[in-house]
Amino acid sequence: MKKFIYNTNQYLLERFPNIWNTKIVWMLGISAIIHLVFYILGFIALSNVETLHKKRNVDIFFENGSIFFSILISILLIVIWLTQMFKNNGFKNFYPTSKYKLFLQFVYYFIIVFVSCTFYFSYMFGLKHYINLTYDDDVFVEEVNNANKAAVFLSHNLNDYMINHRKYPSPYDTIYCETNSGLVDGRFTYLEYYDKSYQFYTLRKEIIDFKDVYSNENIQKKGYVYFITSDSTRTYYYKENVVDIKDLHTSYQTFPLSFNEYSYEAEPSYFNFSNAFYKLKNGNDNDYSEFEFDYLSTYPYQKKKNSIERAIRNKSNHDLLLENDATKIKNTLETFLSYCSKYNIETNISVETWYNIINTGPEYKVKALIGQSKPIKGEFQFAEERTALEEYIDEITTNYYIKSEDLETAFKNIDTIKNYTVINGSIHVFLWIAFSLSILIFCFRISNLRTFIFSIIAGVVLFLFTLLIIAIYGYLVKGDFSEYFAMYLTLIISTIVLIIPLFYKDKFRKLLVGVCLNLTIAGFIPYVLLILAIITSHQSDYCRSLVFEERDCFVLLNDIGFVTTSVFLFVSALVFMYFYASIIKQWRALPEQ
Amino acid sequence: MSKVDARIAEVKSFFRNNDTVLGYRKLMDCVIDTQDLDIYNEVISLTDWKEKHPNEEKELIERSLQILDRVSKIPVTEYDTNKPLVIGKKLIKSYGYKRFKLGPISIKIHKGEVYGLVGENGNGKTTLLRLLAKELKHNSGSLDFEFDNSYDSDYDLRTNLVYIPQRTQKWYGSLKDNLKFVLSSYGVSPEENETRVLMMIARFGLWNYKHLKWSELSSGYKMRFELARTMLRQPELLLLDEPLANLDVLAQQVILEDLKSLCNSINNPVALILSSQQLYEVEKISDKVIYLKNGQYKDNKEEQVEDENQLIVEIDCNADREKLLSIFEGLQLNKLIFNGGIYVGYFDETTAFHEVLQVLGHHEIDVTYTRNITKSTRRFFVS
Repeated sequence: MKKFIYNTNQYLLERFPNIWNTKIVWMLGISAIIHLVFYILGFIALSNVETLHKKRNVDIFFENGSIFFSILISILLIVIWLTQMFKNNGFKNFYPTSKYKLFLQFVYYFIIVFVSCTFYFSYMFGLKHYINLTYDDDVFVEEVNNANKAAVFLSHNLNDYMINHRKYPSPYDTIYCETNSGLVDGRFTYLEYYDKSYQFYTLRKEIIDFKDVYSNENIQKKGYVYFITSDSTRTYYYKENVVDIKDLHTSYQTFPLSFNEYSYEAEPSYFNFSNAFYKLKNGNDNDYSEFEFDYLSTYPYQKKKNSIERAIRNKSNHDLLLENDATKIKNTLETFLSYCSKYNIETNISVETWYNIINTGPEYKVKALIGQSKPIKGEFQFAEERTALEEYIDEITTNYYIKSEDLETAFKNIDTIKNYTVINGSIHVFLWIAFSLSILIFCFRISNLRTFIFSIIAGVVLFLFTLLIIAIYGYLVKGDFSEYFAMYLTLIISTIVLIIPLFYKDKFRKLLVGVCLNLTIAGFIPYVLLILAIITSHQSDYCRSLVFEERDCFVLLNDIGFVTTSVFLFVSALVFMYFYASIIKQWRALPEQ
Repeated sequence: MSKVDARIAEVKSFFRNNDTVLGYRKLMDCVIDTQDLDIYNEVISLTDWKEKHPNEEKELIERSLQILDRVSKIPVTEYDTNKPLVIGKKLIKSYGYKRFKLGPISIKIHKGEVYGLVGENGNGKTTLLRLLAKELKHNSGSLDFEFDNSYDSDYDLRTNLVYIPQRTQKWYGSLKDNLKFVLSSYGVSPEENETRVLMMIARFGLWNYKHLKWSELSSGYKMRFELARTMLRQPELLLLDEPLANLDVLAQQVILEDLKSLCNSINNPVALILSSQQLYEVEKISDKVIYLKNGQYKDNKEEQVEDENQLIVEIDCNADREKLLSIFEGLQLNKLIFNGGIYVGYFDETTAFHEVLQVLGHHEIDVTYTRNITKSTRRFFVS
């Protein structure tokens, strides 16, 4: 091994002095091994199925200490690398070099730092590969679908079985159920269950142009049930006529013939259940889809999607219950319990017991509830007065339980990790961390400790000086111009710093030019960003000055987005470094005094 | 007889007189000039053998002469050293109003010549070296470099000249790797790299030290490694600031001899300027000695005109001034100066140095040291 290292080093030293000096081959090799270790750590992180019961496994890297281990390894790697690399510096000794070689040196630094601080990605790849290998896509989708089928029998919460949750058959999916007893109109028919009231309404719409939404007339709108906003309009929904459920059942031909008269009573029934046990993300990486916007949603697409999904689920449950086939229902329950066993979900219920709880007759009224966790021994005495419904719920709650929430969490974890894009926007954060660090190392390498320290001090002083001027300006001049003043002042100061090494390097002391050179290298990206921000501010102001209809204007940073900006800045930085390398060479050759 | 033949004949005579240490060094100089890597490898293996068999001088001489025969058959093109490498005209460097000012200095430096830069502390030796190395900017005058290697920028220019300050930087890592790094940075092919490095290690007598760490080396060997590194860069101009500081007398002599012979390379000469306080040693090897006083330039050849009517002798003895004045009465002594430790006698030009020695011997004066400094810049220090 020692001989191999020696021979490799000699090979590189004789042929590629830059590569030998930067130790990039060894750093990439060592980093690859550590990346593999992190991949394995990620791969085994969820091997115990019970870890899936914990919420947000996708963040496990940040929760189980791996992040600290990763940072520690990164720091150690970079420090050891620097001590090795600093042993030789051909540039300081005036060994021949070209701007291309100097640029390459910087690129090597960047690559080394980047691979030394991105173990997170390997860990996440390991995590994702483990989940994909262990939980096959098709099997998982089938499991979720089967769990959703069985969800109707998970009578954890009586409220889920109330009439207001019914979305099938039509027109239950379109009519509005008023559950606020204060708003229930006693003059018309409504249903009651304990202290709950349910009154159904048809809805009327009022559509207004979006531009008028904030007009004096509309801003004070009242009495609507909800509104839905689209690109150009906002639709307000108002209660119109009370619907008598009994009439509905007789007049609508779409109702199944076997749908008996009990079904439109307020008593909780399995027929009413329209919730999902778990909704698959289907490639959607964000969490918004998990929230039930339903009728409160202001997003038309979401509302529509949720209504349709609920109606479909309600129909599916409905069909199963109407079929009234004990074997089919028991199969559904058995499948669910097999998942409980697979995912180590705590339960004390058997298929038979569970079926007996459900089987309350063809109308499938909810007569008993199943707990969500193991009942705690001993009685709790509630100080406050309990409603009759609460007491009834206590009465019908059995000692049987299924910790279904753990299964839901497991599904969610698996689904989230399956849909997780490992190389996502966060790579830009790592990219810029690596870029900043490599810029610092490069500045130190091309100048010297004295110039480097003076550069840091000068940077801080310039920053404070600029702040001071802005603060004084803001204090003396009242108005909205301080934002522009700050931006333009920073631009002017930065431009002065930038042009000194370019055009006036012979006019000043080498130390001062070196400080400006370092500040330029480190500050180029913020400088470009500042220019983009100034353009954006002007565009925004111009846009605001237009009438509403014409406001569809291009605003640079807002419209191109974070990723495009980041990529643009990164490419600009590389191009800049390539061309600026010749200025660095010129500075190095300057006389000291 | 050409320069090459003369040198080979000289090396042969060293070996014939069993002067193997010097002969071997000179042999390596001849070999380096051939730029023939096969002969380099022969010398490298001979050096390795020599270090393992230190007492087998006879075989060493025999093998060295065989190599020398091969060397003599390889044509070596003589470099034209008449063209000046550096031309400085009326150079002035000032550190500010009422502060030290160097110059105006006009100077022409040729390849293959050794320039000794002497002067008391604070008289501008380092300033002049740094000026020539482009480490400092001159306030007025012109400084032109006529290097063989073309250059597009000041950075490239500075790759052709090497300035080694008094305090050299520490080396990190393997000494050999540091030397190889120089060559690979200068674009030497991988096949030649190891050979050239080992050749230079052998030339500077570092064979048994090449595996040591920098911290394990004495000051003398550190300077030798630094010079080896420098010579590998094949600079056209070499500027050394006090390279003899911290070295013992023997090490000083060896390093100066090495520098002299390397700079006098027949096909690849180097212009060398070195500053030092060791007047005698520097004068011995320098083709020209530049004396700086208060930033003003004097060279020993020019100044001779001023003192040409005198014989100047330095004497360290236990006799008092009256005694010396009485014994030198017949020798046309113009003045006798005592500077605290040493007497400096200024005689008429008709007086010869041996007459002074004769008088001192005749009167049984206990002389510890004496030297004719008529042509030496030392006279500027002692006067």
